[in-house]
Amino acid sequence: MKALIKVGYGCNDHCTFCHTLDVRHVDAPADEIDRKIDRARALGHTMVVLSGGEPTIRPELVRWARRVAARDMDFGLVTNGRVLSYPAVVAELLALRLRYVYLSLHGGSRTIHNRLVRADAFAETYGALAQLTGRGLDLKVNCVVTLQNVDHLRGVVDAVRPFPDVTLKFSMVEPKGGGAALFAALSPRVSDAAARVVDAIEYGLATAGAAGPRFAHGGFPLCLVPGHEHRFADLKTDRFATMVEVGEPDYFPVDDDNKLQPAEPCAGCALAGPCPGLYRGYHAALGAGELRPRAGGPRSNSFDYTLEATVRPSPDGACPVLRVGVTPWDPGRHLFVAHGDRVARFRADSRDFNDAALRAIKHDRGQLYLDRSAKDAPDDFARDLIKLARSPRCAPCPEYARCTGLYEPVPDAGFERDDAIVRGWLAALAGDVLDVGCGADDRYDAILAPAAAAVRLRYVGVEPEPARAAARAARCSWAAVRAQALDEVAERGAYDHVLALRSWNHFPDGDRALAQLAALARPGGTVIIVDNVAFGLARTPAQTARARAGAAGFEHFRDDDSHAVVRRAAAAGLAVLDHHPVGPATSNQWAVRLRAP
Amino acid sequence: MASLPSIPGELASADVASGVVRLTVREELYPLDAVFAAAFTFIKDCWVVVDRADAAHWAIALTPKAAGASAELLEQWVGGFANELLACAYRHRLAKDHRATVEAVTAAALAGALGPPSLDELEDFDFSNEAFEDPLGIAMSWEDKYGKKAKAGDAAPAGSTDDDDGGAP
Repeated sequence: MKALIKVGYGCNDHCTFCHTLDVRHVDAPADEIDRKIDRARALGHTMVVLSGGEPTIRPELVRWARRVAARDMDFGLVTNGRVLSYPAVVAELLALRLRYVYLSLHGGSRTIHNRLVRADAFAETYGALAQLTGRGLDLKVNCVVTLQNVDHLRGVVDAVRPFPDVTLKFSMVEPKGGGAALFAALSPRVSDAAARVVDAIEYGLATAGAAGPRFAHGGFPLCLVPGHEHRFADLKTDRFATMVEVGEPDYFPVDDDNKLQPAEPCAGCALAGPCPGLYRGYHAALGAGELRPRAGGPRSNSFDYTLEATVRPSPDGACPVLRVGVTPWDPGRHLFVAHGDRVARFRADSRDFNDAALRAIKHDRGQLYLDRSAKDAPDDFARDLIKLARSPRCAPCPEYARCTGLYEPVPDAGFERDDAIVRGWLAALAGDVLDVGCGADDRYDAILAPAAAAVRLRYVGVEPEPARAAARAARCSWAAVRAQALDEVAERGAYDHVLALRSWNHFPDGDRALAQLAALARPGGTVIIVDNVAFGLARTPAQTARARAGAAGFEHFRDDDSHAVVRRAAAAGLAVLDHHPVGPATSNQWAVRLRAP
Repeated sequence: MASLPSIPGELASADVASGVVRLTVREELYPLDAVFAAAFTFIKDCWVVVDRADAAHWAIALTPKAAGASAELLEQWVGGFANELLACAYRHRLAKDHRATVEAVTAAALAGALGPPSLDELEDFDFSNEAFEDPLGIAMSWEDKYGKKAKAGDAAPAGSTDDDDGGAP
């Protein structure tokens, strides 16, 4: 993982959109950077990337690279590249483990590039590309899209085409620093810019050779780059874990707090997990009217925390997380698990969930588990998973709210306890029962079959997947099982009880599904809905690799919790008879029992 | 020269009287390294000569060291050589395809085994502040070069939010 160090904000360019416009006179003392390089090593980083301002104009550049290499880390630069037009500098840095360069090129011609950087820089920046290509580097070229170059993006593609090892990224200008001060003069409409970026990428794909260049984008809501959602790139996709500004005492996790996904219209969008959203400044100025949220599409309901390192216990028994420092660890993406004297550090790289969702799953819902199975995906939660809970040692700590926390495996029969609630409801059923999305498993057959045999209930199961329906029908002679989707069930008002047991999040449209379920129940009948919220699994690298290579696909269309159903029920006139939400003291299974009007 | 029943005549022939069998293979299919590797496994039991038959073929002559080789025995020798050659060519290809991976894994393993440099080793590093040569004056701040100052108060102070993409450097 990479650490990003800002060495100062001075620069030999003067970009119109400069983030650090009003602090360009600020440079970090050399010993501050020395200390931060050493700290990066202590935190377990494998690469230090210097940024600014412009890090290459610092006279300490080579010395810092040497210090990074001496501490057994790779070296990287976020740069305008001008100094790297010197072959000798590049050669020296390559010998000092230069492995990553993120170079700014904002136009494919002298006229366009120089207009944006307000210096005669094109020949040097473009010349640096020739020095850097073919050296085995992770070589990124970043083009910030503004009103001044939005009509010339194909020119940038043409400029980088000779360099197949380049990834060319188009980034939406951020309203920050100069980008905020000159917002009206600089910022295109995000939808217009995204369309031009898509055009440039498709032009690049059509004209580039098989070896490359490759193309990426950043700062654009994914709904505006249809067909190219997977080309999204940011600091996290480039494996930056932490960063530190000039004067800050320690590292902080890379975050997305400068962007947002407005609830209207983004709530429920299928792209919400990986989408960067809109820059807050852009949203404040121009709103979210250009967004086109994507309906439908299956999504993940779990993510992996993969073992990253073990942490030495503190000899005095003090908290090992406090000892290594609070701020560098991402509250949502890092997970420290203590077991006896040992502490393991895990990290989640998932882009299926955004940072806010990860924090909610970890800290609000407490849905973290240690996967002790050898399966691609756990299917018997009670046996396969061990619950992880915040250590009691954290409770009195003044850093409790800010810290990523220390977690411990806890003996917990939460899955059995929460399922006992459902079993109790099912045991009391009598009359006509419809089980929507009944699947093939026999989880509740020991309750339902005797009741059916005693003619206390008549059970009908419907399941949209024919093979599963056939398997259930073959095993359950006491049940009438049909291969049918909810939309195809037409017996309105025919059932005393309608069940949706772990099928709720499989329905593409929650509002429509609840209305349909309620309509199938007789007046005064019950609707029982049970499902699971998303959860995080602490896994070894081998377990994570096996899961990602496995055949298990996404089946959920949403990650609704019980509150989402209760809100809809109130709007639809259904009375809530019982409500068991998810919380840190429960499993990830929620249950709601409703009465049809 | 006699042909061998189980191997096409244009590829292999045997001279029973001299006790030698000759094999011709295409260069584009069998790299010279593979031919050498296969030949090496036969030098205990045979005299082996490798030569270029023409611009596109290698010629291999095998003479069993034990006297009195029959046509059947010569056929076994050349058949064995052909199979070994195939195996060597395949191994050569695998090694070539996976070379980068093997090198990367080996380098990582060696680096890990060496561990971080000791304090003694760190003392050998040059941590001086000597800057690189800058004959064109590129490494000079924009303000120094153009004698201007950025307008203070043009924008809000830079925060520590984490995106270099849309504005810096």
